[in-house]
Amino acid sequence: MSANPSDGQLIDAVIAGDQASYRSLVERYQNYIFTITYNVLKNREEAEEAAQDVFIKVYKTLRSFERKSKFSTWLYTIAFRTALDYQKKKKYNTQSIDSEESFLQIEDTKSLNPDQTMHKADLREKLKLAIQKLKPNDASIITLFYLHEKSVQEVAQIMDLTVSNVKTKLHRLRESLRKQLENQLKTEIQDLL
Amino acid sequence: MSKINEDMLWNYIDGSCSDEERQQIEQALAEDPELKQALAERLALHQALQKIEAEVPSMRFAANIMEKLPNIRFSLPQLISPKQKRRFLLGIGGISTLILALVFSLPEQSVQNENGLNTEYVNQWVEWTTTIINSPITMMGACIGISFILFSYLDKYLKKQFLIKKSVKR
Repeated sequence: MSANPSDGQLIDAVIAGDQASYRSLVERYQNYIFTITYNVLKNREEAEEAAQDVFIKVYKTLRSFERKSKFSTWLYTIAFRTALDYQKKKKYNTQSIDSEESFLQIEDTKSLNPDQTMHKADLREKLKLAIQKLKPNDASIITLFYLHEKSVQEVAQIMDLTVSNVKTKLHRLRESLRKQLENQLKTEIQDLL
Repeated sequence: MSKINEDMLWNYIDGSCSDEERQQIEQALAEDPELKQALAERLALHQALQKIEAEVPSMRFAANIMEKLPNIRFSLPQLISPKQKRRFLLGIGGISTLILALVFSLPEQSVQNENGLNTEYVNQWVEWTTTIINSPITMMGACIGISFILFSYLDKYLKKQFLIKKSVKR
């Protein structure tokens, strides 16, 4: 097998009985799967348990993967549904982007002196926190689109939504994030100029 | 923001707008500094979102999964799905009900013979049954049914054999 085997090659090896290849698949996707489950469950321990469950489910059903879509799309679909199942069981209280009060209150930088202006890392950190505070489905749309670099069509497939629905939600969510981080973004633009 | 709305700006950033829309936006951007600022803000957010990093699970995450694997067996795709099995049983049930309905709807003006047996009833039943059995549809149905049962057993048998081999290998 090559130094950097493709998902397909690793799957073939696992089906042929090579369990070590499955470790490579796990290591390749563990952060992404954990991010999906964490976005839904908002709790590290639960998210880790759910993510492990995802990889065990995938191992058990690897033979049924028909390779009609990318392995990552199939994997993320299982991860998202498993996380939702866990969420249903635990009845997590989540917050909606529609509710202004529920959204993370981000510090206003207008009151800070120039030396205290936000750096790029701060913006990313605040953005990450803002995403964590989103409703599970909303946070999943953003992370699948940006972190997992999935197309709108793939996000729709993973989340069992229509393409137009995902597109509308994505626009609305980004607008909401932009409004929340307006001051940080303005500073960012000034830094660039 | 002139004629350009937020959705159009996001489509422009995502590269999902039409050539006509792109030209319209670029023309408006050249004329409207406010729109330029609006685009810059969205672009800054877009770039920040692209740089977001994934959450990292515990160090033992992969090891924990690998420890659980030796006790797990592959789920094999079944030759006949449970849905098909349910449909088949429902079909059998439906056919049986139909036959019973036919039997009970036979004319009642039959005459009993000296032994008290309703001969007309029996003769008609025999005639109907023979017609049904001899019909090609019934024969085809029977063949499908028998094949289904055989395949179900074959499915079970092969599954068992495969799992035995897998566990012996381990």
